[in-house]
Amino acid sequence: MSQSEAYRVDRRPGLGVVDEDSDQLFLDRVRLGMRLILAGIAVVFVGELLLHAGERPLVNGVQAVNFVVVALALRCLRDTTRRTVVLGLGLFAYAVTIVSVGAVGIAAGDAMTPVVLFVGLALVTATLVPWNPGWQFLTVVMIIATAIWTVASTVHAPRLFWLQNAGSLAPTLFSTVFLSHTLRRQRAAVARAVRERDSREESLRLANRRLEQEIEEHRRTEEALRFAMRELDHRVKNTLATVQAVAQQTLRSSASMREFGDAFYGRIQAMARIHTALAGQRWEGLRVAELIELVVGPFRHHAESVLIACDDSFVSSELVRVLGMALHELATNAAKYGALSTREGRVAISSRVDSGGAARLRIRWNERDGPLVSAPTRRGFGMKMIEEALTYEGGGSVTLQFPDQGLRCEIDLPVPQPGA
Amino acid sequence: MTTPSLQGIRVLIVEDNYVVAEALKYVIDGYQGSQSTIVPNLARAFEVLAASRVDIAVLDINLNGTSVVPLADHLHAQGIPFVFLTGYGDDDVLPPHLRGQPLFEKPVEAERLVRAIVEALGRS
Repeated sequence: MSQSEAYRVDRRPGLGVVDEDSDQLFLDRVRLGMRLILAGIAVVFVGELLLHAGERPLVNGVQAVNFVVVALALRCLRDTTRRTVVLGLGLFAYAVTIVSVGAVGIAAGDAMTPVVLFVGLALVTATLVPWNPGWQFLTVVMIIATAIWTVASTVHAPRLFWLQNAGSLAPTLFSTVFLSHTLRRQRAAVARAVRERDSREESLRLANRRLEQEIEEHRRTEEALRFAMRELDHRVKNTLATVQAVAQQTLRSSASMREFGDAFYGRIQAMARIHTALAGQRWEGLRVAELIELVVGPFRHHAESVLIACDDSFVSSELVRVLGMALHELATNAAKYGALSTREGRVAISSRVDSGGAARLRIRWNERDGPLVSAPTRRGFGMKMIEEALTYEGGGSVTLQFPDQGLRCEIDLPVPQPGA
Repeated sequence: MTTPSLQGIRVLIVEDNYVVAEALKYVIDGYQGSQSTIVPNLARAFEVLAASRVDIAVLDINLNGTSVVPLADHLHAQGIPFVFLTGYGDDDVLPPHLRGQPLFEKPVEAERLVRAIVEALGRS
C-alpha cells in the first residue's frame, strides 16, 4: 500500500462525514443542524395545534420560545466563522431545545410528544456529528435511549425530571460535540503532517535532480577535456611531422649550414606567428589582410616597402597555414633576390574574393623598383612551396612570372562560401 | 642492416600536408628506384589508382577531417598492401578489420617506414 493511501482521510459522501479543515464547512454544518431543529419545532408546533386545537398553551408557549431562541442564534451565526462562537451558539441552541423538549414532556404529561421530539433531535445530532457512521449511530442510540428514559420519568414522576436526566443528557451531548471537535483537530494535524512530508520529499527530489544534473555536466566537461587533450596530441604530432619535413626539405636545398639556418629559422618563425594568430582567433581563420601583414610585414624596410590592398575576405584555418607558408616563401625570395632586397623596391599585394558561383580568392603579388630579375635556374624548396603547395592542398592555381621590373605572382584559390 | 631496395616499385602516398607528403616521397624514393606519387585527398588517390599501377600505399588516416578508410577498404579488396600514418596516438579510429595493418605515428622514422614497406611487399 502506498503512503498516500495510508494517510487518506475518510470521505464517504452522504454520511455527513468529511475532513473538517474548513471553518466555513463547520459553520455550514451547524447552521444546517439549527435549521433542522427549527423545522422540527415548526412541524411539532403545527401538529400540536391541529391535534389539541390550542388547548395546551404551555406546550405551545415553550415551543414558540424554543423556536425564537434557536432562530435568533442562527441569525447571530450569519457574520462569523470563528469556531468557538459557532460551537457556543450551536450548543446553546441545542441545550435550549433539549430543555424545551423536557419541559414540553412535563407540560403535556403524555409520552408521544417528547418521543417524536427526541427522535427528531437525534437525527439532527447525527447530522451535526461530523465523523464516521459508527459514532453517529451510537449517538442516535444514546439520545433515543435518553429520550425514552426521560419520557418514562416524565410520565411517572414529572417533578424529578431535572434531577434524573441532567446527569445523563449532558455528558452524552458534550462528549458527542467535543469528541467530534478533537477528532477533527487530529485529522487536520495528520493532513498537515502529510503535506509537510510531501513538500520535504519534493524538495529532496529537486535537490537530487540538481545533483544528477551537476554530475552529468561534470561528466560532459571531463569528456570535452579528454577530447581536447586528444586533439592537442594530434596537432602536436602533426606539427612535429611538419617541422621534421620542413627541416628535411630545407636541408635538401641548402648549400651551407648558414643558408640552412637562415631559411629554417625563418620558416619555423613564420609557422609560429601563424599559429599564434590562429590560436588568438580560436582556430576559426584569419582575414587575408591580417595574414599578409603577419607574414610579409617583418620584411619591410619602411612603410612603403610593402603595400597591402585587400578586401575583408576571410580564410579558414586549414587554408591559412598553407597560404601563409607560400606568402612567407614569396617574401623570403623578394628579400633575397627581389624588390625587398633594396630600400627602393616595392611589393604591392592585393586580394579580393570573386563570389560568382564558387567563390575564389585572388591574390596579386607585384614587385617593382628592385634589381633586374630573371627566372631562377634552380627550383629550391621555397619555389616549390609557392608553386605547388597551394595547388596540392587548396586545389588552386599559382602563376609565377619574371618580367625585368620584378616578380609577379597570381594566386587563385577556391574558398568555401560564407555560411556554406 | 642492408639498405632495402625498392627498385621499380610504385608507391602512392596519401597525405594532406604538402610538406609532409614531399618529405615522405623524398625518404621513400631515396631508397633507390621507387617512384612515389603524392596526393592530398581520396578523389585524387582514386584517379591515380585508375590511371596507373600502384604496388603499395602509404595512407594518412585523417585527411583534413576526412577518413581514409574507404580507400583502405578499396586497396584491401584489390590486394594492394598499405601502411597507415597517424597523428593520433592509437588506431581506435580504424574499423576492427583494418587494425592489423602496419601503423606509424607521426613524425615517422624513415628507416622503419621503409622496412615496413619492404615487408608488406614481401607478404603480398
